[in-house]
Amino acid sequence: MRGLMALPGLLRLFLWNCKLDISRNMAYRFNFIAGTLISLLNSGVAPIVQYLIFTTTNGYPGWTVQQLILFQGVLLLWGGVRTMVFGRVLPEMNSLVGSGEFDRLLVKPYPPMGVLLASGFQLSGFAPTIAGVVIIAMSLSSLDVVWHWWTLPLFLVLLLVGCCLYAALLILMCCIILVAIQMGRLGELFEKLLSFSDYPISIYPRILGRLFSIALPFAIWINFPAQTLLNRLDVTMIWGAIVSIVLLFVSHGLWKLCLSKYTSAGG
Amino acid sequence: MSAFLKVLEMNVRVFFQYRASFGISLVIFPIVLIVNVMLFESLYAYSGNDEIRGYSLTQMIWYFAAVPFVYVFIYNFAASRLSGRILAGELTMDFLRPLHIYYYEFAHAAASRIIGVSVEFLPTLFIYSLIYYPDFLTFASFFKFLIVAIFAFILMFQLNFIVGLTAFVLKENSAVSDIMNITLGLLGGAAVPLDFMPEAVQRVVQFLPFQYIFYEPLQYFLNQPDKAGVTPLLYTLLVQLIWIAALYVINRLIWAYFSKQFCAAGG
Repeated sequence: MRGLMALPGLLRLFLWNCKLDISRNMAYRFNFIAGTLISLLNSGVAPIVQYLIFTTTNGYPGWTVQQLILFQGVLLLWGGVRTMVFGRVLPEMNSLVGSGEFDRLLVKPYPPMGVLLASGFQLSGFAPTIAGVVIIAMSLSSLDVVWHWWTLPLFLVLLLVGCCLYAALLILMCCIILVAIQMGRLGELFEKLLSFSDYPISIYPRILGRLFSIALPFAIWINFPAQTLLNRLDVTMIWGAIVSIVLLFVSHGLWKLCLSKYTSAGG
Repeated sequence: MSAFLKVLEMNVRVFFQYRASFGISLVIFPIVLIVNVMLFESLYAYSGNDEIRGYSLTQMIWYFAAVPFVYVFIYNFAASRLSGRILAGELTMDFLRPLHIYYYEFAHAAASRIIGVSVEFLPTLFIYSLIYYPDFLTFASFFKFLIVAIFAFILMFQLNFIVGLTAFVLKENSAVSDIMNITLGLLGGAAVPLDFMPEAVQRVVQFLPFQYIFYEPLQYFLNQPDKAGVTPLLYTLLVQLIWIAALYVINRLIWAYFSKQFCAAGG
């Protein structure tokens, strides 16, 4: 089954994997409770670092402390969502290719990348998602922002497009794993690259700001949704969204190319 | 000792087969450096100061650039490998080996770091220096960094092995691993220099081993004034040695207690 025809089945597979992951977590209760608290703490590291930098320097151009707290809320929410949807993809790919089990994905009725993406659910993203929503709601109530009928739908659309961009980059990483086989620290390097989206675009020089808004639109994850909530819309958001979707198609094409050259252990 | 060296040699051979995967750092790390340069140049310009919390612009850029260097020295999989063995019941096989699993894992970790340092650290340092020259770095400070980083690796291994041993009780110990990573990030100085932390936190951190894994090696690398001469180096090494000895004893005590109670499939 290929293309859009596979989508309903892959969604069912995703839900099935969600149930499995929840059951797996419940089997080790201490680890589950501790893991939930830890994931909340873990997602709080970047906001803490930013707050420390913000308070020990002159702050960030164009951002007040209240607005920065809203930004942190969106940062937490995005971190939670991406962990819940895609958290297990890279480790799973690493493990499958490293152990030679990737081949079994090739004989499944759904496309291998679809199966991989459908196995991404990780329960540890739940706590930061909730924390993000609470922080956003609290900071919005203290900020004097005019809301329009389109604010929330646009915010949700940007999160959805953000998922497309993240999936595109994950697919590229999976291509690297497929070619190089053993990529122990790829996840760490990947996170390091993506961490540049954790800061407001305004603190970067103009050229880098443009790069992160349009060419490699990391801004779609946190900056654009936060700016939307603050009612500070920008035309670069449209370009960023278009490029994100184009990147998804490009990376999928590259994946198919890598897959066609994949020889496995048998040659 | 000969068995240990044999395991070390064997693992070096295995890791060397995947040297290309280590090489990916050579592509990604410089990108991280370039973005850091732009980020901090912008922040320093906006704050209007030459120094922030005792760090010049060059030192600040290199602090964040050199955090992955320390990771290259200390990174090891002892916690997850040990937990995996306990979960899968494979630890029973390790009881039959002539070499104690502690030393086997140490050899495995050392082998991966030998390859990591030679394939990742040295070339990346060279490339970094071409991009943004570390005018603070001297031969002496570099040499001191190497010694402190090697001790940091041994210290990190002790901590990781203790985390691995928690799997005797918890089975799944990824939450404990996450706790340690967050602690290392915030209290070890990996996420942000400890000088940015409130004073109360800085005082507490002095009584913990974490700063001797990240913060201290980085201070020698950055050639900070308070690390000049031999006395600070001897003091740091002494504290590292004390922590290593203390954690080694804890390791052996935990192992002695729980290994007697361990029961895999088959009794």
